[in-house]
Amino acid sequence: MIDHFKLVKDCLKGNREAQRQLYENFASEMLAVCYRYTKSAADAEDVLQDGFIKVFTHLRQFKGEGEIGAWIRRIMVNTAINYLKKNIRYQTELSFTDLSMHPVYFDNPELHLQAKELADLIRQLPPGFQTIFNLYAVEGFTHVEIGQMLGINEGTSRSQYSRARALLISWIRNNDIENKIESYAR
Amino acid sequence: MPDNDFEKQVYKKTRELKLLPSKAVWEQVEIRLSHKEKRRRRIIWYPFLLAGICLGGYLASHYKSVLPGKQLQTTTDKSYHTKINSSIADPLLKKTSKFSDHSTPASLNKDTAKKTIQQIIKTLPDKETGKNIITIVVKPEAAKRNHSKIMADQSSNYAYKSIRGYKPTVENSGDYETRLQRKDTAQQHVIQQDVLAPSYTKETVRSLYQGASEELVSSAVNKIATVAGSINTFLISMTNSPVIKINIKHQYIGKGWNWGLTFQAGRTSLSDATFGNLFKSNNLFDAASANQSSNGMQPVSNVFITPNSTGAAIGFSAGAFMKKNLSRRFAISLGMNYTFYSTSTTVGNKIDSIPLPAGAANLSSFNRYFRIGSTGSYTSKYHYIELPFTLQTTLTGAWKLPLYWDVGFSLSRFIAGNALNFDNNTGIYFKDNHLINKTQVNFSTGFPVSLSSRKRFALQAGPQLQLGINKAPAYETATSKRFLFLGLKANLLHKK
Repeated sequence: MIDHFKLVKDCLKGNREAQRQLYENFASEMLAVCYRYTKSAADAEDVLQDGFIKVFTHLRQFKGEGEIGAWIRRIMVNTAINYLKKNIRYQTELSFTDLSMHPVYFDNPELHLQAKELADLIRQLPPGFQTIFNLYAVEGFTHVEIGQMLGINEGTSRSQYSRARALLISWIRNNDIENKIESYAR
Repeated sequence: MPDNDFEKQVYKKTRELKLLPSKAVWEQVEIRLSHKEKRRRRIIWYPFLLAGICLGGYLASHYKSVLPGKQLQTTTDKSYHTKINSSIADPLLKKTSKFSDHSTPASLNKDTAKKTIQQIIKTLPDKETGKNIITIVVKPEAAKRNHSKIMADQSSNYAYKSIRGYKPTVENSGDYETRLQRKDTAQQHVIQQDVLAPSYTKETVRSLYQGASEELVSSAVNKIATVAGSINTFLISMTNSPVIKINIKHQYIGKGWNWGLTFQAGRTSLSDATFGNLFKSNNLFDAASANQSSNGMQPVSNVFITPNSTGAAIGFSAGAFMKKNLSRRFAISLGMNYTFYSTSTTVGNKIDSIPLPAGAANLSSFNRYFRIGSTGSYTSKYHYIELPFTLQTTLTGAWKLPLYWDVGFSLSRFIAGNALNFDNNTGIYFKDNHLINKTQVNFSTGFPVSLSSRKRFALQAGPQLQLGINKAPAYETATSKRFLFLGLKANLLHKK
């Protein structure tokens, strides 16, 4: 069992080995976070890199209240959002307006997907939908908090999420049907 | 947290996901962290730099504010005047009033001396700077007769020296006779050369006796035989008084801090320490021998591969400095330079990958691998920021081209470079800036000649030698390998 508290203390002393250990402990989990917010693996690794630089430079701000993993995750999410805002490729599509209309589903289908498959489906959402879905469904932020983070109305966040959710459910259903057809064929 | 099952499932599923990042991510993180740390370390120097600038500014303003001529002209602080005047006049004139051949009333002598000194200081040109050296000369025969008395009171004369900007001397020391004689001769010579116009003399004398009756002024005019002056020297000679001369000599010591630009160019080398073998070829930093020595054993020379020798290459330095004259002979200067050193080495073929030497501190900092050989040449470059301090002594100020001697120290901080190190186990050259001493202390000396000294600018140029006091490699066992620079230096000084 790794003593994260000791690891953080060593990192604060500038111990490069401790920093590497902290990175290795959380890199895979955090890359998954970055992966869901971006559209390419290269972008995800860029966010991961920026995020860990922030982690090591602001490590003194971690007071030891709560888990270091949660603190790092929060930094990664913020870094990802900043990355999307700064990156022109995402900016054009990150406008949180009701451009596309999708049917709204309120049902709760069973998820038969693997974690990676689900993450890939989330990444196929338009960037605005993708960000809000990640923040609400995965990170657990409220629509008020999301509105503050992204600079949009709470209502916009709510409606965008509903559409993102509906779109994702429709894709999951289609995916299920395709899988069933494939299994029948076999 | 969303309540619906779908969101719960999504939350759970996404939390399960873990992806392995490529190795390049950590390498990049490490490089960026190293850069940040270096920048942070550099910031540590900024307060020192700021303190140096502040100190320089303080010294500049301080010395400017205590220039005697200027201060006496502008100050209205009566207590300051009184302090100066009383300390100049009182001890001496109290003594002189006791002289047997003193025909002038003591009070007149005292007032005359006070006012004379005041007036003379007031007549100094506005832009004069330096010290007023006041010499009050008494008659030799009077001094001789009152020898014992003067000697007894001699200690009180040291009080003069405590007044900033004033160095009055009284010719009453043990060898007074000789000195007085010599002084008199010298002053008479000055008088003959620089006697002022009679009108000026009258006006000066009249102003010395402001508030006194016309009769007293006329009497005083008759008693003052000569008032002579030049820009640098003012003399008053009085008859019928043991005070025969009050000499206020205005000594130029420069005009505060002047700034200038400096440039030097020449050849640099890594050399053994002594001056006797300057520019001797030397081997490159041997990182492997540093590792071998961790057990206290020196590596045996025939076991390890010997690197090729290094040669001298171009070096230059450019920057700005501030200079202040301390006296006619001495001046100090402080500055900041960008300095570039380089050395050349014969190397073999470049290779892409090799086992890393044990001294490798950081994976990302390794590149430019060469085998030992003689197929090519490599130039190691070193970039420094340098803070030099120099004391300049005038050796031959009277020559047509005055010769100076510069001697000083400088503190350099390594900022970048691509120097090669040598691993004598594997026989390869590699680059690792961690093996270079980041802070260098250098000794420098030079013999510049004043090529031009115009009203606004002065140009000095001459040979310059600089030798590292500490070693360039950061590890213990590397013998000598100090930077050596020999070249020409030019200073362009802007005068106020």
